[in-house]
Amino acid sequence: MTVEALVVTAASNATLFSVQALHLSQYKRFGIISPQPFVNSGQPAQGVYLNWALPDGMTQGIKKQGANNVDYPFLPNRWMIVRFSADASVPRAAWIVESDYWFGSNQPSDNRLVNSMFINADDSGNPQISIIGQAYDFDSWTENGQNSELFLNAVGNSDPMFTAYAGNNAFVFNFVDPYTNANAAEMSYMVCGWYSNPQYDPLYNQPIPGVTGWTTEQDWLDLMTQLQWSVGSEAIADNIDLTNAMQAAANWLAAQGITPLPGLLGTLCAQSLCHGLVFDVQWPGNNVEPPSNVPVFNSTDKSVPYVAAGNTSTDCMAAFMQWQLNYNNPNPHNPGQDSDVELLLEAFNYKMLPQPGAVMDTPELMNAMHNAWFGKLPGGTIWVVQTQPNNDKAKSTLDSNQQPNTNAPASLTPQQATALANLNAQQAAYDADCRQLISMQVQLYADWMKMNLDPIAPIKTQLAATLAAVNVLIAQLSADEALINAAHAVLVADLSTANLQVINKPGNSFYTPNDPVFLVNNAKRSYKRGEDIIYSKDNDSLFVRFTGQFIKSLQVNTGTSEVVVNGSVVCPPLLITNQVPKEIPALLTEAYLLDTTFANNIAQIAMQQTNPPQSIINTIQQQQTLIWNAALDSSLDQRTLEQISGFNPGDPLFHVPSKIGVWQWQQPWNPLYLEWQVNFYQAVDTGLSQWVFDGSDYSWGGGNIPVNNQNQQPLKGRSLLTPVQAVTLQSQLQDFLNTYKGQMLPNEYIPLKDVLNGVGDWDVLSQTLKGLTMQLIQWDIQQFGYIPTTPEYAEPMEYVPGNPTQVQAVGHGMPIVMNGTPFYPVRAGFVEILQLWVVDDFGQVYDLNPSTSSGGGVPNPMPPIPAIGFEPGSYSLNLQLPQYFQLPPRVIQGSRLDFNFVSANNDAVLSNQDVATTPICGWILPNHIDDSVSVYDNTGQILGELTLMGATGAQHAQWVAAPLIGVSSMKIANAHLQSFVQGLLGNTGNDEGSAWSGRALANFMLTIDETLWSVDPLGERDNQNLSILIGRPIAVIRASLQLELYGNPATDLTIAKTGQNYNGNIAQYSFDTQIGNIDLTGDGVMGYFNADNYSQFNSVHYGEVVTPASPPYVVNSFTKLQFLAESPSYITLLLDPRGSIHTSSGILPVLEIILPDLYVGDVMNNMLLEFKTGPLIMDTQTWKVPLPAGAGLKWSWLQPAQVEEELAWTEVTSLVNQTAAVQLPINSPSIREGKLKLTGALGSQPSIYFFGVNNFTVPYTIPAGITAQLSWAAQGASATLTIDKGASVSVPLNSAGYAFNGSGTQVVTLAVLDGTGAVAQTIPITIITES
Amino acid sequence: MNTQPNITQLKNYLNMPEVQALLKDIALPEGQVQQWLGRLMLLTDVPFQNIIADTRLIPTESLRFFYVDPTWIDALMDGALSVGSDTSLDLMFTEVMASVVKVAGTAIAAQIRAGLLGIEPDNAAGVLPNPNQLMSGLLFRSSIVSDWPGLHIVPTYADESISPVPLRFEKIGGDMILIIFPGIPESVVIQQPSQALVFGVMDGNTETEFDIYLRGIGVGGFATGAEIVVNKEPDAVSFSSTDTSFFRAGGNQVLNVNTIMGTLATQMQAAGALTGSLSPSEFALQLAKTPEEVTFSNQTLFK
Repeated sequence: MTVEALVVTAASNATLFSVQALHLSQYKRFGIISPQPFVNSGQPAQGVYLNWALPDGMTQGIKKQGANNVDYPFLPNRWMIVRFSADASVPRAAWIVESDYWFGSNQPSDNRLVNSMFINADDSGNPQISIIGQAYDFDSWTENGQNSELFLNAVGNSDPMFTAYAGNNAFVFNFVDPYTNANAAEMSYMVCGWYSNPQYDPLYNQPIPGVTGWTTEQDWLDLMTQLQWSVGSEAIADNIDLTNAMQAAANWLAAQGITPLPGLLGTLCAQSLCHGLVFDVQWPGNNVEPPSNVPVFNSTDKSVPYVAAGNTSTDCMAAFMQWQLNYNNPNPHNPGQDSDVELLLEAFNYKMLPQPGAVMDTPELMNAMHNAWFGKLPGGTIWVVQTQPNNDKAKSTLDSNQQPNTNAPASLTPQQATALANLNAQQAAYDADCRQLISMQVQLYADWMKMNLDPIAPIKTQLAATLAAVNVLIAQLSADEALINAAHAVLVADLSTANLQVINKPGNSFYTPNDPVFLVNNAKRSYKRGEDIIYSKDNDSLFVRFTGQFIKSLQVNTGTSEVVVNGSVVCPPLLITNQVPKEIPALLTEAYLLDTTFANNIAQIAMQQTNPPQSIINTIQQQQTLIWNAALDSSLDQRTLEQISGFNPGDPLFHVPSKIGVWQWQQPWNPLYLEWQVNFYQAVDTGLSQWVFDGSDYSWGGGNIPVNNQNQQPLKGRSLLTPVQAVTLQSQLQDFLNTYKGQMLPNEYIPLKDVLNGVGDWDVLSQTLKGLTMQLIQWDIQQFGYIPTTPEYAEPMEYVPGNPTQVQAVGHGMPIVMNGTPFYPVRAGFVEILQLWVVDDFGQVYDLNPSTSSGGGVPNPMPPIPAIGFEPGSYSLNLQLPQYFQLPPRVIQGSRLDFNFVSANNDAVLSNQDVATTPICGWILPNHIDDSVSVYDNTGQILGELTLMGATGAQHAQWVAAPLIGVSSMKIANAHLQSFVQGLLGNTGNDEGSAWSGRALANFMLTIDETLWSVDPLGERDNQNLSILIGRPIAVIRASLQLELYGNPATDLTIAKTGQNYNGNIAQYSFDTQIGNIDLTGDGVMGYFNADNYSQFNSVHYGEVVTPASPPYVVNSFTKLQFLAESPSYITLLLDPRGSIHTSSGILPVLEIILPDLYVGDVMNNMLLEFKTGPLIMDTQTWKVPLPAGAGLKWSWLQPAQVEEELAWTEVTSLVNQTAAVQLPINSPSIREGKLKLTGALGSQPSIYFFGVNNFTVPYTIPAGITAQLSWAAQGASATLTIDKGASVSVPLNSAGYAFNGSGTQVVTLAVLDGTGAVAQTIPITIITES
Repeated sequence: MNTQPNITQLKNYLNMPEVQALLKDIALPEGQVQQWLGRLMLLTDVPFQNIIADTRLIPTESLRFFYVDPTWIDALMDGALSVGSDTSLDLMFTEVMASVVKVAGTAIAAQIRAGLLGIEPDNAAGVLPNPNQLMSGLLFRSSIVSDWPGLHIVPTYADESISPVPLRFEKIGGDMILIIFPGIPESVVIQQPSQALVFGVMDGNTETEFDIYLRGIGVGGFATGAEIVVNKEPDAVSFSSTDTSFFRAGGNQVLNVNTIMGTLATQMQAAGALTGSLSPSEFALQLAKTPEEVTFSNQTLFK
């Protein structure tokens, strides 16, 4: 336990203090509770202020297995403080702090700096508020709390800094020694803490709430691990450290005449004792100013603080390093040369570091960054069906990571399908109601608060209405839950007989924008809290000891002999009572031996003389600190060091305590809070006319930044500072660079090394400006709420639906109801930093931008280093920092872009893996060589093609029905597919397109063609070979798209707006949305038709349409979406199914949707392909036709003819492959044009596409002495090659050259297998000796 | 609106001559493709109907000389290279690369036969054959092809730099041989295989007539082995199959050596090429029969 002492004398005046207690007295008056930022609380009274950091194991929550919530252990509530000194002028003194002393209606009589208050519920749940914490002189104290109920934990008052900040814990975890001596002196303090009621000790064996309990040794060890405590290394043979500790405890108990408890209770520890020592505290004399470690703004040295502002601490870190390396502290390797360390660090952080030489600003990295700028809320549930897990072993090993048998869509009966669709509809309504309930509970809470503040009639009416509505909704939800459960049960039963199962998938998530993050450098971070294990070399635990392992003596070499000095001689006996732990005198003795200021005393005793030589004193001091000084950089074993240091000679059981508990004094500085005040300038209209959306985010395009008094809103708050981000990044970076040890670090990565090696300043602290954003919708989340106690309000407010989708919002924050408070549902504007304070646990303040004017008053705005996304307008980082940073438009309330696949036949039905709900309307296959588009239905049946016809310059699109099975465009079954065709024809009643259609089709073809240039998704679909043969089939897919708010829209909460339900016109904002992204190679979207308008194709790429159709067919505008739309927008997407769909709107993270493979797989395999072929010379008697190579492909010839003026087709199915072999025609050949038709055999079956000998033709006759090269291409799971009667050899599925030697005639067989079957091909090879 | 017309940029980039030059340097497809193209260039793997569409074009016992139409080969290459072209990007790439790939294919074409014969291809020194060099060939459908394995077909070229090794020399069916020459030969000689020395007589003017052409034996100014020419005509002994004095009795068409030798000696003495009688070796010289060969001269080249 780290104890620190702040020395305050009457002359202390250099440091600003801000020590404030929670204003809990305001609780029942509905006032502001949390301390306000920038309050100068004045100089504290002189004395020595002690503040101790509780062990991490006690301050960190423990999440038990299976539990939803986190339990916080109770905290020690009794503390003994002993002041002692080698300096005779300072008498030894001892005090007791009762942390949980409850003043109730009394007031403390001492003159304390703040009255720390606590709120606690009484037995009936009513909040009780009191000042807590009392200190006593040890001699006048008696224990009364052996059996009392403890209530303190690390999140007391819902305040995570409860145990740390001086304003909250005066005389709780904090003590003031009112030392006022005018003369200089030095002193030391020891602090010991324990539980007045040992049942609340986390080590206690009997479970009570908050305590885990244990029965076996293993339980105890697990508990210790949970608490991050360890008595030594368990890895050592027989756990010798624990055995020794237990032995030491037994010895000590025996010496004290204490009978141990029976069993493990007597040998293992069931009680904890926290102790810490701060020694060599220098009191300069009451009229002398003590030193200070608070950083000061100093522009002459390098200690000027910089503040980076960004969406995440990583962004801030990256921007800060960019600034440091390129401008503030230029790169030593390339002075004057900018290095893009910002993107390098971002890429490193997102594990997307490019290979040297590659570009860094990939859209993928930008997306990863953008996605980190949001918080996530669950988006409900969608039910889908799937076939039962496939038990086929071969199959399951092939795709063990996949959902069972996802390759086939389920096939439901109409009854099942209806049941499933209903379940989904019910679930969607229920999820929406749950979200609505949460938003209305917030509203109810706000109304209730307002009523308490200002019980006027309109508020009462509003409150009653909200309460009634919430109650109605709750009743509705409980009923709906039952209905959903019943519907689900019925469906499950119904499906089980059909070998189908219904599973739930998460719906699209909701997102909230993060608050901005500030990063501050040169604030001097501290390791006092949360870093207990910092000195643990071997494991991740704090080293702790058993009773009896104390240091009792020190062996001193006097130069002539070795003298053992017993601590009890150095330390005058401490008289204690039975009310404090018996270990305390021993710990005090140990403290004397560890305190270097007692080295002189120890030397006197050892030497038996009053003026021992300084060299002996120095040696003793070295012995006392040897273990700390050596341990950090020595490979020496801890035990060896302990023995070298001369403590407890001959005692194998003792241990030196962890360094965190033995602290040489210096004035403390432990930054805790960032207090911030900024001016926010809202700048947005509902059309977002001044913000430019570039497909991924908005940037300011409105010219001069509008900052003026009209739109200025000062915002302020107090946030906790943390160094975690920097620490993590630093160590990851170190690990990464270590991988290059011994090798050359690529030039591109050198900036990473620079930032690691101190060109960058790693003394950084960062914090989210928590609550900034919510203040814009009038919610102050810094406050903790007053929770109503009357069931009338408490119950509906706290009701959690059976399927909770969010933790309760009530009780976190407070509405800001002052009239005139602006209400901005969309955050968009600019931020100016006005004032920043860093406050430490003693309340010391570091003012980051003190006023430059001598009169004080007006703070000096600090220019921020803007991180990515925060650069105002077109600013890019340079030496001159901007006055403002930008906050591009974000919707403050939780929102989502809900993208779902819907049934191709019915927009109202979500795709649920039932084959009838497939979102695929059909397929198109563009043929870029002759500018035509083949159109298929969703089973892969060809319907016809759109092609250009007519004279050059006057071409029109023409629908040509496919041979035999094709249909007229008027008869295409799927409405969307038909509309697509008819939209291109510009004609709904004729297969011949309008005059407009020729250009439309040409434009369309060009756009698709050029889109395919950069859209090259190498997805993991099976059909890689398909595109080589026929191009890329594009799916025509139906989907719904909607911008949704999480629950009801937030409303203006000010008293004046009560009952008006004013939501800031959120519905009028229209947000650009991009569907598909041409810059992402994994994206497969070609474009889409919006809102059933098939006369206009929204392409992801506009291309260079030289002669656009008029009106244009291909456009490239973003789709505008609005909240609170009556129904979703429906779109028909053209998608290369190997790629995914990215939707981005700037205001939300990029949503990536993948079309489930099960809709695609078989269809693509069965797709019937026709190739216009001819002129071909062929023998039409025997139908000899040259056919593309490839085993297993089935071909037929479609021969057109005119029958009664109509085109009629004949299909010839038995074709003879015409090869290069001499086959002199028997019959007169003729020249034919027609279509070659290919069916099946692509993909699912194992196939051999080619197998032969390089450079030779069939029959293979190879001169002797030549090494022939076999080559083959096959598809399947594995392949083997067998040469003649030899053994089969495993070979790859594709080979360009497999050496073959032989003689005579040999038969070579290639066999390919997969889970579904096998195929083999054999070739004879003859080796001849003549040439 | 998307603000990044990156496709346009890419297009312009690919159209830059430097980029195209670089592409040609580095993006040559792997050997297998060139192998395939080289083979195609020699009409390997071309469906037979596209070479001979109708039987009447090459009846039995016929010989057809042809030129290989470079335009047709170009079209074939284009077709081959268009496999897998999905987009105009692929098309553009193919256009850029076509010429390089074709040159590479030509080199392979020249290597294929040389490789089979185990000799150094002519382009081994790094000199690629001119891809625009006109190729020619012949198709020979005859029982000679099936009856005389190892038929020699030897081209001679006016341009001596052209390799005499044909690019393709392949029996493609029982009685059909396809030969492709790397240029246009001046003449092509078709020879019987010359495995051994045989005795025989030559066919005469009629079906029943045989000729024995006389050869000098180093007497009377007639060099040994040289044809004896009298009055600018080769001197020969002719006899008819019905002339019984030249055959032994028995009707088995066995020559009567005595009669023949006598007749030959008389005729040679008359020509002044013999004094006395023929020794057995001198007689054998008269009856040694050289392999038959036919020479086809290219009429067009000398006009």
